[in-house]
Amino acid sequence: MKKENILEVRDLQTTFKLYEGLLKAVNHVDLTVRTGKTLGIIGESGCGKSVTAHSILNTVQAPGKVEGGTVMYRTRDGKEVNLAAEAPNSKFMRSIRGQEISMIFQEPMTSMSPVYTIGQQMVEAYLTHQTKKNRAMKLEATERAMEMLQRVGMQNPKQRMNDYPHQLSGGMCQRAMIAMALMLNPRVLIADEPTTALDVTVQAQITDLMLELQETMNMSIIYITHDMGVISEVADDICVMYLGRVMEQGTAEQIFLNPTHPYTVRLLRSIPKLGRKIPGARLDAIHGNVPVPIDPKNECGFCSRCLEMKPGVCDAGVPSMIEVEPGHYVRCFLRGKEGA
Amino acid sequence: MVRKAKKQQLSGQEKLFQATQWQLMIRKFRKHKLAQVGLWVLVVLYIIVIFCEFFAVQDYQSRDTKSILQQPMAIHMWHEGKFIGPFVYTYERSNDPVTLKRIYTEVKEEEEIHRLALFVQGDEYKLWGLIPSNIHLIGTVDGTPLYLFGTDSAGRDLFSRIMMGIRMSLTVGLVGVFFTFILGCLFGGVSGYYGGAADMAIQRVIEFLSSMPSIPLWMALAAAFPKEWTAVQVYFMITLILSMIGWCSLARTVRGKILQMRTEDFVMAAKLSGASDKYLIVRHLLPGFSSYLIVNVTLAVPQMILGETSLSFLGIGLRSPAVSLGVLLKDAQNISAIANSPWLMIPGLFIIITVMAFNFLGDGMRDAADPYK
Amino acid sequence: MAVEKFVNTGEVLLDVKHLKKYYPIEAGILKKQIGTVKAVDDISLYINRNETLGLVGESGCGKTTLGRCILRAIEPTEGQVLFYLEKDKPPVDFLKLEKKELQRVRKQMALIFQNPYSSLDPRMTVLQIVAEPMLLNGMSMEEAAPRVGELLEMVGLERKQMNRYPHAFSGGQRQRIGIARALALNPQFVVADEAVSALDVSVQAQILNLLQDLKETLEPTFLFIAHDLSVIEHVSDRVGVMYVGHMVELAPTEEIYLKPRHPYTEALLSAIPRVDPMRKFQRILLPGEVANAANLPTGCCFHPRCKYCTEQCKKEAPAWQEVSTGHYVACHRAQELELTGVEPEE
Repeated sequence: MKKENILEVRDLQTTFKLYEGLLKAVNHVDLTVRTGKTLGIIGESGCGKSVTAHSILNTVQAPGKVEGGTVMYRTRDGKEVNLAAEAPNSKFMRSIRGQEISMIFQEPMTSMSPVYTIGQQMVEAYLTHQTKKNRAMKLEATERAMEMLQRVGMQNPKQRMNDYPHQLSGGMCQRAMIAMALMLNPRVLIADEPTTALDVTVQAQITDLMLELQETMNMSIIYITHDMGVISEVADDICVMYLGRVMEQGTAEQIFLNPTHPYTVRLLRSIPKLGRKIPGARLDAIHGNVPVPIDPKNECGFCSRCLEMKPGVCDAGVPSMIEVEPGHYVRCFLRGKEGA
Repeated sequence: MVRKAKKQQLSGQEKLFQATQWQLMIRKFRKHKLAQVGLWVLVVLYIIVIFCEFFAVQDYQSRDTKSILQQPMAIHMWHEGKFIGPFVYTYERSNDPVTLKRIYTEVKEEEEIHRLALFVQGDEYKLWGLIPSNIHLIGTVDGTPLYLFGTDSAGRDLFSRIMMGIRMSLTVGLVGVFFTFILGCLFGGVSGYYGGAADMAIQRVIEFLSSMPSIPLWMALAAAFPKEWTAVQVYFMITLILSMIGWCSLARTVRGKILQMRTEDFVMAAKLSGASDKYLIVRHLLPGFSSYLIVNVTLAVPQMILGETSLSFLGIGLRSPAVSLGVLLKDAQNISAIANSPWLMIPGLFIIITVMAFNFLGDGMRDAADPYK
Repeated sequence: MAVEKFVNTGEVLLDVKHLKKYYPIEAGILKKQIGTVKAVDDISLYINRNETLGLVGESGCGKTTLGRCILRAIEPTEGQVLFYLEKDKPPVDFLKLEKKELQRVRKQMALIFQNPYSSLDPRMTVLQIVAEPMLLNGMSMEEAAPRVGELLEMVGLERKQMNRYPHAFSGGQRQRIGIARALALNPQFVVADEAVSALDVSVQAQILNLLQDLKETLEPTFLFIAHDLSVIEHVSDRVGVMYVGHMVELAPTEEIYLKPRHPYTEALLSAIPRVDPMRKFQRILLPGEVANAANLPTGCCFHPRCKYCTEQCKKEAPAWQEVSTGHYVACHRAQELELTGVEPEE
């Protein structure tokens, strides 16, 4: 494990045994999260980005199962542990979740309990990780909850503590969710499409808030989204996923200024350019549909939709990751040394 | 023919793509093993319902005063080490000198052997009241009585009576559910589709009906039956009473489903294309929740069967000479009957099997009801 | 006014006047009305023949309600929708039509839905789904079936797929089926309600291209409702911006994106996430939350969040005025403010 990294995922595989066949949701995925930086995972629905997040936290639900790979994590006291090797419900794993790695979800309303107030849920989240649960501890937890609500920009936190999730708007609810996730001062925050369900103006508020919190708390973030715009605003490193595999990986500048994988290139071209209206102009769309990764063939996952597809090469095996420039990796037969 | 040939050419994948809702449901249902067991048990039970006189060993009403409360006969294969095939011995009656209890013992002698056979001739009956016959599935070759499940206090063959009881009990369920179905769909449909005042009124009626204590209500209604009514009339009224209360939950399900489906975009699309209310109901709403209805109905049948059984057991439902599983169980009401003649509880076993089979089936159907999830 | 100008040249297809949709808030057993939600509050707009009018706003701003009120999928409370069925002929007031007439005129209108899953009846084949509007309007299945084949090919599906059920298709393909159904009767006016919002990025572009192709061949008029500002910019000729039931600004696309005249439009544009890691864009963060449609603030409904707010804004509701040709704004300070639009992307 490199010194500047807090989390290194290597060769992660998660599969779902379905009636229709074996769904390889996460297929030999490598990820690296640098301390204090944001790793953006981008991909379309079904590309395995959410399952990857759950695999890291070891919370994949049956019939899904983490089949292999390592999730190396550097704890607060400097030890390196492999989270994938721990039992999902072990005491150790539970101590990691929330305290070391926390997660927020797309639908803030549904990921909170409707029958408890925001305050009760936040205090509870704090107390489950404490050995002693006395009055003083509870007071401390309440204080901490109020402080966190203040920090995520909620006015009148004392009153908000007594609100139920449905009494808050979507944006406020997501703020409360973030506050709850940060109660125990985690070192890694996994954000799974945190702003997708929100309006643009609220989305802007929430992304700004997350960046600000990251700076003050020196947190590392894994930001999962399908929105190119959002990812370019928040991410330091980017990882493009397609059909359970990482297709391209590099820094934000490398991905956006020098996109190399045909999928990344086409994806960037398929979104309308802002402020450049040309009447009647067509978008450069990717043809076809995202395949379902059930019993995938031994070929490049993108080859059925790729314009540069070379028969006999692209459909004859799975390409490996090639470094095209320092720190910039591409999974394509036609790029780098192999393609030349 | 042409159509059939075309169908066969479709690939497996294409077949799935062109699969109708029902085909998809059957695919899903097949994965539910327990439900299939339930289905087969019910198939057997309903075959018994249809041909119960044939399955009965003898006339269910004929009395044998020499064999009162006789235990089930044992079926043997060997006589003194010699293979004979299935047979029973003659039973001899004696009295216990101390308790004066009747005791039936086998007479294990060569000349007292009565071989069993399939499709034997026995008591005359008319199948469905129409076709005269005297063939029974099983019986003794020489016509001596065969008591597979023993006899009751009047010396009637319990096995034959259970066969008749199954017919009665399992059809009460179906007929009752049929009324439930009609009432539930009608009121639930009106309530959900038109809403407003009708909805208000129907919902209040449902609340009123479901808040009534059912057993006292049944008792009151059953007490109102005139004594001179025939078994058939009573039978009919009982199913009616059961469905009077049973439709409430179905009506609620129908209403909820309609309310949900009315807001679906495809209903709006059809409406904008100029579809009438009738078209929407027949074309989109009914097919949409018919599968849910069937599940609901399947799960309602055992409720009906249990309802009839409880009524009859309490003596306010069907009465002798009509026979149902509940009526038969009535004989096992006191402790001495259970202690001395435990075979009188066999009808209860059939009730359990039936109800469980229906529940398993309903469970599997519920899982299959929405194949698009 | 501008409307009259367009009427005279016969270009206007739909002229919506003072459209309102109020929902009563009822409480108690007696259903006493204790308030009103003004979902659509006095909106006037016109849509020209063969143009695409984009309608944008945040969730709950009433854009979907407005679209459906125009089609009478929801009955509006008040207002007029004048529909110029044929050029140079007097319009019909769509909202006043009786059942039979309504059906005849409505053949000229269609709706494309957001959710590609709930918009298709899973129990019907593609053929039955696409043929439904034709069958309901007096065609026989024999007549309709070949037309379904044509429509499917037009939207990029294959003729032989028409015996399949919707479950055999992906989200993007289902949306194509929905579009085929909407175009079945060759309507003049199509409302696309968030038609691409539920789709993946790569599929979204396909559907946008498809709509563009169809627009060129069939020449329908689109009311395109979406919350994604870059999609709206791409497809629309003119764009209307809504905020809690009110239209705040309406102008030709380029003008509204580069030179907005309403502070809300400015804030909305600045909040769009930009695909450009090298540049930092200045953002206007709106304070507070979207106003409650059941309890609107006095004066201009945007004033509590507006940084240009004056005393006048708090008291008087701004009038809907044309500040330059074809550019309508509801803001007291529209003439004096210098607002920034989007910086064009490379």
